Amino acid sequence: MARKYNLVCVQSAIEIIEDPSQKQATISRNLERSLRVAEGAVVRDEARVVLFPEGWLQGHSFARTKADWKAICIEIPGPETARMGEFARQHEVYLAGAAFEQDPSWPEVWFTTGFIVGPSGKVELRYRKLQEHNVEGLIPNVSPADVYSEYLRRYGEDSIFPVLDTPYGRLAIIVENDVNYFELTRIFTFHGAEIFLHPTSEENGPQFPSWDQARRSRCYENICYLASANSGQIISTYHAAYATRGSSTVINYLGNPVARIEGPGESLLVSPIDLQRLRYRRLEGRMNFPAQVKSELFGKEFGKQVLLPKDTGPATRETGEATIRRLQDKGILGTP
Amino acid sequence: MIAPYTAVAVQTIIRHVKDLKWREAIIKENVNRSISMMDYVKHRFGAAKLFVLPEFSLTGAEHVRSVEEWTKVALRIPGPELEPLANFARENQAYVGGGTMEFDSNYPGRWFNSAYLFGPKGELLIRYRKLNGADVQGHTTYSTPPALYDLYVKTEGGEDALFPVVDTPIGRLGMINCYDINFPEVIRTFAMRGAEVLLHCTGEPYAPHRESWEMSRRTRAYENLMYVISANHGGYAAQMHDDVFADSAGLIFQERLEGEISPVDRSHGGSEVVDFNGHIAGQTESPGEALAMGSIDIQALRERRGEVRGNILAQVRSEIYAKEYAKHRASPLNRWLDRPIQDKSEGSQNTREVIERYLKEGVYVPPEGVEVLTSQPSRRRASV
Repeated sequence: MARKYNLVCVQSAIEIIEDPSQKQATISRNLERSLRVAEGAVVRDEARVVLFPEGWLQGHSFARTKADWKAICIEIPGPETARMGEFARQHEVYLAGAAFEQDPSWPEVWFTTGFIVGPSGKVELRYRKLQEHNVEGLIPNVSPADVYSEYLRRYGEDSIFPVLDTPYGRLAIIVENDVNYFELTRIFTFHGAEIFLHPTSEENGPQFPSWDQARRSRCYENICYLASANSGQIISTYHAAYATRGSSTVINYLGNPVARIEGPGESLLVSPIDLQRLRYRRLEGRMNFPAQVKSELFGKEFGKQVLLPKDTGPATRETGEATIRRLQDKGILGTP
Repeated sequence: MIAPYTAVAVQTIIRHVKDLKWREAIIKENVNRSISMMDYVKHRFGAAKLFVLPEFSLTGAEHVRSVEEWTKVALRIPGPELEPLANFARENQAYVGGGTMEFDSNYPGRWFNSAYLFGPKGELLIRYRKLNGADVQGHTTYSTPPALYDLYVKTEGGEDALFPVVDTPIGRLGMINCYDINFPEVIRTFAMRGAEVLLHCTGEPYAPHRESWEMSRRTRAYENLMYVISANHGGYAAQMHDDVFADSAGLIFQERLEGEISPVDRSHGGSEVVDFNGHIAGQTESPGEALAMGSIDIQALRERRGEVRGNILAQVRSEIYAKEYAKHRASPLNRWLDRPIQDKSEGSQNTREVIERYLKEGVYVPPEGVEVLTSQPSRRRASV
């Protein structure tokens, strides 16, 4: 068990798949470039956990049709994770990231999926993004919550909040928008998570300072590490090259940033993870929020009010708008 | 439509009741000084609609006092000491809220760390009792409603009593005290009950993890699309002898005094009005008597809450999270149902028991080389 080790966020330059017929070639370029860049940190800085951004193999394009979205999905596990497995085995490291995934046994839906490939060479954790942007009309995929009953039937209850026990701590993945929902990180903490790997995809905009704030709160309130790897550059014929804020960040268990890239650009962020000190902090009684929270009370309270409902089928912008109208009618959201 | 209005966090210097015989005089002084500061706002800046006073701002917080003595120091809500504040609200057509230690004869042998809100008719609109604090931190002996949950819900006529929200012509208001801000679950529950403006009566001394509290209130505002008004105290003075306060150090420290003497500037001040984007709308940047003022625009908040993009509140997967919270056992309800908390160490013990159970259950992992209890593998395994 490592007491202290290095983690690296790879702030990748991502080439967007614009023509699905170029899918394999583009993914291969993105993957090989990312692995080569990561290798520097693995060899020189002995990084043991490597984190890539959300969508770093395929890119997220607003110009993509529904059919093209499905066409660019990969399988997890699949050939890409097998290639990552070779690297992980060779260097004895954990590799994590998030990609757009199609499960071949469930062709009707596809997910944004966080995953970890371990030194075994295999996919050791697979998490499907819960707080998906489909409800804002930004991506035509599904959240497990949209198809909750069927999801549990297929994958089992334990598949929703998976935690991976490793020599580098108990790892969990949350993806991009998930970081804004404290419930997720709290539940993962209840399940034993210590280090949150956060593949993300953040552009520029007025809300992002608040994302930074939320990132820190997640660590403070759960006594955990959180590493956010964002993309560093977009390579595309129609997206601005720096339509990403970069700013990959690692926050420690006190809620303080320990490492940060200032801005975009292809880069690496190597940060120490002091697992031993995190575990000492969790033994302290004062301000030990995960042990102090009245979970039973909030289980009851949260159950009283349905915000965004489950089992609606794939959520769309209409689902989001209907939810707001319903909550306005119930007096939960005020009516302007 | 609700026109924008000014809200004020009134950062007072608290005169602290040390000796019961000075109780009435000191409470009166705290009340009058608070009202003078609110009058100043009126004379200097014109009408403000909403005033928030700090936690325990009328008596101070004594951390070594017995439960029995606390039941005597604590106020009733409503009660004669609070009447001038209710009158101010009526005379100025304003809303005045604050925190005070409270005794309620329905709960003999207990006292609460509470918050009150008076409306423009001078009526009591909210009585809230702090949900998190002494029961888990071990710094004093007030009761929290979850510590006597079954009894509390029965006595108060329902679970809504824990999370009171009042619908007013200046928006839907809720209140919390101090440590509650660190539990996002508390604020989410208020948001689920429609709260738009959260009045946070706080008492934040310099302490480990201090800056994280600012972070917490901004995150709470952002993730619930809610205004948060935090009134912290700006200083602390305790009456030690007749006419001698602990802020006149030269006079009283000719000898070492026993008991709790807190630093006069034990607080960073830092009262804040945070808007529904999580941005600072008003702030005091120092301790001392000061006012943090900000504009509250309920119409803008409601428009924002009507937008789909980034509407965190309307996108919470609440059913799934409710189920997971209900399955988990963290800090228990009804911990002090049969007998009131008597000693402040009981709160720390409560948390200690959960941590030890967490180490057994594998929720927490002990540091290497530390002989605690054998940790189990985490309950949830990754499955692919």
